[in-house]
Amino acid sequence: MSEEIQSEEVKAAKGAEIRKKVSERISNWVKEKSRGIEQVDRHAFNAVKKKAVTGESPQGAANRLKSAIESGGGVVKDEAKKTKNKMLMKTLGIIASVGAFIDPEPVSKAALAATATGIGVAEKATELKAMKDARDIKKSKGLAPQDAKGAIVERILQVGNPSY
Amino acid sequence: MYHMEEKLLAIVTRIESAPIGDSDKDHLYVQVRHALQAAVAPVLVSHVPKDKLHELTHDLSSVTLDRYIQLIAGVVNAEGVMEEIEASMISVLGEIDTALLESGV
Repeated sequence: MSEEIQSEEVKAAKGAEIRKKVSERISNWVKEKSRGIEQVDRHAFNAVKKKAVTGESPQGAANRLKSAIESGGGVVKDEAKKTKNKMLMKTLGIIASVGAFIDPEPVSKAALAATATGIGVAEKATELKAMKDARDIKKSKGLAPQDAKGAIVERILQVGNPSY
Repeated sequence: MYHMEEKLLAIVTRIESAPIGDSDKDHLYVQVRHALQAAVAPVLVSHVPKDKLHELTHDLSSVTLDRYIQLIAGVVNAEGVMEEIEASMISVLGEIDTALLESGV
């Protein structure tokens, strides 16, 4: 067997190992986090969320939700509170970017299934393509490594966002 | 830089430097995104007013995006909930960090 093939096999085995470990960790975390939450409430919440976003543009829905939350924050006068509020707004932006409020797919189920198969959370071709695009930025624009990583972070947060 | 972004960037940096193929890296990024999504739902469900939630469930045809937005905005704007969501997201990123560490990445 050539060295090149051997090296590819080692890379693939390592990749599978890392994906499995990450998947298991996430899955266990989700299980732990969901403990104490009634299944009936979780199902009810997912049903309502799914019905609410049916037929809606995910990005439009996320933006409307984000605006509603932002406008409900009230006027903050205290400087420390203002800074904290800014941080929370940033969190809100991240939440909106990953579609956590509107994604109708029950993620925990996908994570659990992924653990069973050991191949990672359900594949989404468009997302994978978007990740590939982010990686391509590095090649095409000749970005510095840190910029390229920043672009990937941004893409993780923005993927699935048609306005990106 | 904002704490959560720093954590995310650190994770991406480690994944990028891992001795694995590009497709595995891409899968890991998708997992990160799903993990961040998964971190939000349990907090929302635990704080959503159960009477309102079940009222909507009993008449799903009355559920609109506006009503859902009203429900979620009410939950998220309640004292301490946003902080709890943020802590939850940071916590799941910590799990990913640990998994990478365990894998020698």
